[in-house]
Formats: sequence, C-alpha cells, structure tokens
Amino acid sequence: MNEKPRICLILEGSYPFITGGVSAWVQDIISGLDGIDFVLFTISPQKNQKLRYVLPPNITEHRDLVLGDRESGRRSHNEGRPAVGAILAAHARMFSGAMPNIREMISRIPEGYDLTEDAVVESRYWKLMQRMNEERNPAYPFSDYFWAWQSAHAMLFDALRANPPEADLYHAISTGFAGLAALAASVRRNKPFLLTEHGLYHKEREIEIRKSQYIRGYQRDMWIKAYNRISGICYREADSITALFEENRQKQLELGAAADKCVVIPNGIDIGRFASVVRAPRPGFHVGLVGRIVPIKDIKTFIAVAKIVLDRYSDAEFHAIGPTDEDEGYYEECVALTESLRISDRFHFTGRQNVLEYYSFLDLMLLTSIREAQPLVIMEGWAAGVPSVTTKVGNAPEMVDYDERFLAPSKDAAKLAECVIWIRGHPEEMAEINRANREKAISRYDKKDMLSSYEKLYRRMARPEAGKRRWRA
Amino acid sequence: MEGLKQLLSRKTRFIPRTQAQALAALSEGIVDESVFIWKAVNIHPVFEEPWDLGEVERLLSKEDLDLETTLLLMTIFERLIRNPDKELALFAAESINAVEQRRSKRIQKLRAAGSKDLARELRELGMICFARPVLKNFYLSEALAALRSSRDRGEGSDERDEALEIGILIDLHRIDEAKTCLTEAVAAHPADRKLRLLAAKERFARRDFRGVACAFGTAAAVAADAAVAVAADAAAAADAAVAAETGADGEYEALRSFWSGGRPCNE
Repeated sequence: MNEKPRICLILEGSYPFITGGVSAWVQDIISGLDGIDFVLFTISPQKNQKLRYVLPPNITEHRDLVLGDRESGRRSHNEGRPAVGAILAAHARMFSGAMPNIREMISRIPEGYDLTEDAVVESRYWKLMQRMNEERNPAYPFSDYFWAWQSAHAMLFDALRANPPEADLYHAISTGFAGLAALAASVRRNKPFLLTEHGLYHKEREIEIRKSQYIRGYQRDMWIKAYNRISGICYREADSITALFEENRQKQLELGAAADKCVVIPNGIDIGRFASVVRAPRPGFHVGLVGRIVPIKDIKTFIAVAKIVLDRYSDAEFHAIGPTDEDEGYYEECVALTESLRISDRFHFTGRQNVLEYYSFLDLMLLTSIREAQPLVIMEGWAAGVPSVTTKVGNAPEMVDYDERFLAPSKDAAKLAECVIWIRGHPEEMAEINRANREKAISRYDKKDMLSSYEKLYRRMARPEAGKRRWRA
Repeated sequence: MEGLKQLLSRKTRFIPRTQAQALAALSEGIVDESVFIWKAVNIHPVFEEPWDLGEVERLLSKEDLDLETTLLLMTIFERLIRNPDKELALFAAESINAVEQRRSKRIQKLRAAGSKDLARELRELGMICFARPVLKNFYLSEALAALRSSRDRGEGSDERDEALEIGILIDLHRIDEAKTCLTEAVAAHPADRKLRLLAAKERFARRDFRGVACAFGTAAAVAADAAVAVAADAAAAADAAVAAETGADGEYEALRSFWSGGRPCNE
C-alpha cells in the first residue's frame, strides 16, 4: 500500500446527488482529509443524476450502480451454479433461527453476476419460493408473493453483484444496499469493511413502509424483515462501526453488533468559522430556522410558532433560511399560510443564504424537524452564540441536556412558542447559557476531532494486514 | 388458544391479521377453527389503549381514507406524538405528515383542475388539523375563499354549497356571518333538514341552548320521514337545554357532550 490509503465510500441515495446532512458530512470528510484518496461507489434509483456538489480533487474515481438496471449484470447459469448451494444453505440456517454464513455465501457469488434469472430458472430456488409462500402466506395467490419477492430480491442481487472500485477499505455510509455492497467487496477483495450510520437505515425504511400506501398486507412485513435482516447482517459483519451518538450505538448493539467494534464519533463543525462570527444584534427578536423548505423540516409548525409569538410580541421576526425548490408545492403552501395569517411582513423565506450573516444577528435558532440525527445547525448556532429550541428528535434532546426549556414534542407549536417566549424573557440567564453552549460546541463538536478520528480509523483499518487478519478469522 | 406444541407442529406460519382473513383461511383449510375463533373473539377496538399499531398501520395504508377514519387515526397520532418512546413519537409525526401530504397533493390536483370539490377537500384538511388551531383556521379560510371564488366565477351554488359555507363559518367561529348566510339559505330552502341542523349548531356555538332545542324541533318538523328519530333527539336536547338554563354546574359540559356524541346528556 502506498502512503495514501484509498478509501471507497459507498453511498445510497445521498452524496453527491442529494443535499442534506449526510451529504454535507461526506463532503466534509473528503475535503477535510486531503491526505487520503477517495473513490465513490454510489447506488442510485436512476441513471445520470445531476451532481449537487463539486467533487473535491482527492476523489479519484466515481462509479454509479443503478438499482434495477438489469443490463449491466452478467448472466450465465453455469457461472452462478456454485452460488446456489450456498444461498440455499444460508436460507435454511436463517429459517431455523441460526445465523447464516453470509461471507461464505457471498464468496460463491461471482462479482458482477446477476442472480435474478437464476431465481426463476433454477428449480431449487423456485421450490424454496413456493415453500415460503405456502408456509407464510397461503391465503394469497402465489403470483402476488412472487412479484413481491422478486422486487425485494432484485435490489439485493444488485447490491450483491456490485463491483466498486479497488480500495484499501470499504466504508458504507449506511446499512441497506450500501452496506451489503461494501460487505460483498470486503469479502471478495479481502479488505476491511467500515460502517457509519447517521440515522438508522432500517428504522427509517420501516417508518416509510408503515405509512406507505403502495406496499400492502403481508408484503409490509416481508420488506420490514428484509431491511432489518440486512442491517443485522451489516452490523455483524462490519469490521468496525461508527454511530453519531450513544443511543444509536445501543440500537446497533441490540441488532447484533459486537460492542468492541462499535464507536461513537459525533458530528463536528468548523468551530473557527462559526465562532468567529461577530455578533451584531438587530432591533426586535429574530428567530431563524436553517433548513430546506420541505415537510420533514415541518416549516408549517415554524410558521404556527411565529404566529403565536407575534400575537404576543409584534417586534419578533422570523427567517426560514434554506432552499425552497425541493418541494415547490409545499413551499407555496407555506407562503400562502404566512399570507393568510397576515405575518408575511415578519416572516421571510430567504432561500439559500450564507448562514454566517444570519448567525450574526439571530437571537434564537428553531428546529421543528420531525426527524433528525445529530443536527449540525444546533452546533453551528452554539459556536456563533445563538441558542436553539428543538423538537425531541434524534440526538437533539441529549444535546440540550434534556432541558425542557429548549425542547418540545414534534408538531407542538404551542410548546415551541412557549420556549421562544421564555428565552426572550430571560436575556441574562440566556447569556450564561450561550457561553456554556459555545464551550460545549468547542469541546464536543469540533470538526477537527471528527476528522482526526476518521483519519486514524482509516489508516488503522486500511493497513494491508488488517483485512487479511479479519478474513482469516 | 393453542399450546406451544400445537403451534410448533402447525404446517403453516400464517397468522391471519383480520377476522375476514381468518374466515377465508378457515374455509380454505389453511387454519383450523381454533385460530378463527381466537381471531374472531379477540377484538381490540382501534381507538383504545394500548394502541393496536398493526391495525392503525393497516388503516393508514388504505387508499382514499374517509374523513371519519382519518380523524380517528389523527386522534391516535396526536396522542402518540407525545409518547416517551421516540420511535413511536416519530412514527406518529411521520404519519401525521403523510396524511397531510396525501390531502395536500389531492388539493393541488383539484386546484390545478379548477374543481368545485376543492373547498370540500380544504375543509376536510382543516378538520384533520383539529389539534393545530393555526393550520386548522388556515385551511378553513382557504376553503371559504375557494367556495366563494367558485361562486363569484358563476359556477353555481346549491344548498350543499350553502351548508358547506355555513359549516365552515361556524368552525371558524364567525357566528354572525354564519347566521346571516343561514337565514338566507333557510329562506331559500325551508325544507332542507341539514340547514335546520346547522341552525342548531350555530345556536349551540352561541351557547343559546333553548335555541338549539328549538332548531331541533324545527328540523324534526320539516323532515317527516325522519321525524321519530329527530324528535327523540330534540326531546333529549330540550331536556338538556332546560337543565342548562337552570345554571347547574357542569350542564354546559353535558350539553357539549350531547352535541359531540349525539346522546342525551342530563341523565
């Protein structure tokens, strides 16, 4: 291995095509570790998506796997034959409640080989499918079961045949298909597998499935089980796992990760950049929300908070700072809501902006999201001297030390407004809290610490002997 | 209920989710009678704690959920959102968003098509947001604006639209406006029972309990085919109104409960 380790980041549905917390984190890691070469292997729902980031120069290669692209896989029944026994054995072990030997199974599936047709042509697979249907869903027609099985497994087969670029370490930024692709590469190329999770992939998919209208009946259980199993496999087989905070680490342990390979590496921000903001408060009371104008950020609740606060303090001003073009219908509804409430002169949709300008005069940051992992905006605000009020999501309650003065349940505009009003009414107490928050941001959430932790991890894991030791074991 | 041995020796791992499914499985010979009996008698109402999340989820996945079921689900989600279990709270928040998004998408389509159903859909969304007054009033105001602009465009209006408008005005607590509209509508359609019931609702919003009883009485008189049922309601309401007038503590609450539940209240 040369001096520069070559790390393959494996990503599903995020960087560099989608903006958001995970993508921003990936960009930070790559551009912050210029002594390391990165190659990207992305898993996408469609071809030729638009890049949303300028790729840093230390990305030396980018390969994209499109899920469901049947043309790119090889098919030759003879080539796939050795895999049949291993796959059936893995299923048999799984159904008996034992752990399947996934590494053994993957090692029998040739790289780039598409198993989809085998599942229909090979009689032993077909019988397995029939038996599963008879056992678990006998009240439904086999054709229903077959298509559900097919759509669930086709994506698994895509992940298993993945051929990411050569690297010294395969780093998946979620479990799911990215995790499976990283595991497959790790097994075939005898290299270590590092897994990082921001949210919990299987939990996020489970919620999506539960509220969806397009997956019905027993198929829901089938998908939920499939995602849980994939996460379980990734947790068991990864050589090292990182989580953003302890609560998520505990959930990884519950699903089979070994405690000694799970570490917490929190998010980090450029402390120097945000701490250097010169505060220049403006007249009135300014409340900001930094985020995309999309339903998951629950901007309507932010507007409802604005209305409640403005009814009491007419000098308050509200700023929704973030891109408005991701869900234009939702944005238009939000604008109509501010107009209908007659607060549009005190509520501003700023679009994409340099947040540093806003941190210089904001009196408070509000986070109304219904789902978050470990929000960077809270840390940024703290470093710049701006306190935060947040919904009880992800790591946010722990970040604010479970202090109810700064916390509210999701969608609870009245409680959020109460928090805003309390902060406005206690400037002296808040000055003290802001100082403590800044200290907390500096000591716990410095990006330098995060980068250094990952650099050490990369260099340790990417040593030539690291992968072999794991594989021999 | 089956013992463990029986469970393990069963040839199928299929567990029916609903009574209908259990019956179908029994008739196909997939499960035996005990499974059907177990499923048929173990009925847990969806609106009862501990919440049957499987059933909640099954309802949520239905396409074109009717308003009543949606309101029931939203009531459950509004409670779950405060659950200390963060996963449950997240499920509730995401589900509320999902319900609102489905309705919003429908509204966007109706708006684009210039459909007359837009106002009705907006009002329903307003009702769905019952726990968030700011949003509720916003959607109700939008519904009213849509209804009036459709009428201004000369798209015609019938007693159904008039009733919708009055209903929205009452929900928005614009009671005087509601009364004006109601007077005009009743004059135009004196035999419309729905308008008479709205009159009762309008008077109830003013806490004019004698007026409520009176409106029920009129409704009963104009609806000959439903006279018996309505008169029974009216009698109960009249009793409640008289009791309320005596000023006894809790009578207002009793009448309110009558209104929401449709049951006599002063017993």
